[in-house]
Amino acid sequence: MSFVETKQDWIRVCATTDIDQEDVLRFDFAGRAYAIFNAKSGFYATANLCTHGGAHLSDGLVMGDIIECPLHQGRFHIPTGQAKSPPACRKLRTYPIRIEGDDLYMSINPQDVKSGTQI
Amino acid sequence: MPIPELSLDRKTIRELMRRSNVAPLRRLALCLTALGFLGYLYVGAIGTRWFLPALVLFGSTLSLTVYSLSHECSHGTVFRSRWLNEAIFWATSLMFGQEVLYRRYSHAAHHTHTMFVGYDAQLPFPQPARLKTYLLWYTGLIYHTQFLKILFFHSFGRFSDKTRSFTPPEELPRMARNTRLFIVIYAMAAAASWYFSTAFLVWIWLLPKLAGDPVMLAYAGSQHFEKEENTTDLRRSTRSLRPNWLIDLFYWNMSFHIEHHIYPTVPFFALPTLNARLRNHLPEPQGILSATRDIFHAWWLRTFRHQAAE
Repeated sequence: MSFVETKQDWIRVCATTDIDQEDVLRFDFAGRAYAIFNAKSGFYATANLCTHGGAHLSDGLVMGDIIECPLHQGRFHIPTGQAKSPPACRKLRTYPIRIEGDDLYMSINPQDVKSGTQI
Repeated sequence: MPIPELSLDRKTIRELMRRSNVAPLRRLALCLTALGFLGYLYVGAIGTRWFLPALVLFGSTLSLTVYSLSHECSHGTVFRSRWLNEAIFWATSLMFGQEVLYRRYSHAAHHTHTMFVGYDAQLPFPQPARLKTYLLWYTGLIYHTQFLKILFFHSFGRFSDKTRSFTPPEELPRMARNTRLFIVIYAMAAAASWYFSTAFLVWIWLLPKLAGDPVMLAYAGSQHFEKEENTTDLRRSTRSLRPNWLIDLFYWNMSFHIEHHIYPTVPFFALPTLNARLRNHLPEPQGILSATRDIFHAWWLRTFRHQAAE
């Protein structure tokens, strides 16, 4: 994403049509990476780094509501961020998402943005 | 650091990562039929002069299948159905002799730090290795000793610093519990054999497995032994073998080992397609004999060239 619009504390991420069904898109904002999902039950946003090995989940495989890490195949439940299969055992951070028309917005805690340097 | 010529576009890799139940179930049926046939030949050869070759043939294919299938299932990529993948993972890991969580976490650390000395959890001994170490490896002594040691200590909840380095602390109690469950299952199998006064498991499992392990260990060793250490270029730290349909039936396409390390999420049945995409940028694969010869040749050069130079 090269262009980011802000609207209150909601940040425009992309158009809903930018993500295929059962796929994921990487979204970088203020030095942090997020994963935006078009999962089976809807659109979701989570942190992009796997809580086990730090790989980018946006390179992984989406199956229904599950994301599988591309490095060690740990699995997370996308809507809740719960770790579902080892080697992933720690919860993934999730972020609220909102759809307006064809646009997808996510809400990021301002504290995260202030302290965030890691992508 | 990704290597540009080995990077595939998202659409292609997504297609290659796709799971199925049909291809692995077909492969499993074929593999079990072949093992059944070789087992039938082996049992028929007991008491004849064909016993030894039949034992080694059946044992090698059995050991290779158990090792490979446990490895593939540890990645969770074999079957589309998660329960099927986990059931086969437990069964094969039980036969392979490595508790499932330890197998998963140590293998994850192997993929993160492939051939990085001090970090790769599945480097079985410090490199460069001595001849004695290689002989202990190829006869299976290192593998069996480690199996017994890990089983014993983990069942008491005692974990080495190495194991703690790659396992989240909250998973250690589960690892200990699983290890105790493994021991109970082994003990029950032994008790049932004693109760029914039968050596069936010794003849059909223990003896063939011990006889076949050296072949399995030759394949496992060919993947990284004497390859470059401390490099992020997987083409230099990992060795692929020349694909062979008969061997790959039992080896579950692990011949494509560099490809597997580059994209571990790609299931075994898509590895030939992945290979076709990357082939021009990969080193020429070797046969198992040539790879093993290279390992000992590298050891020879390291040992005697250095001594001559001194």
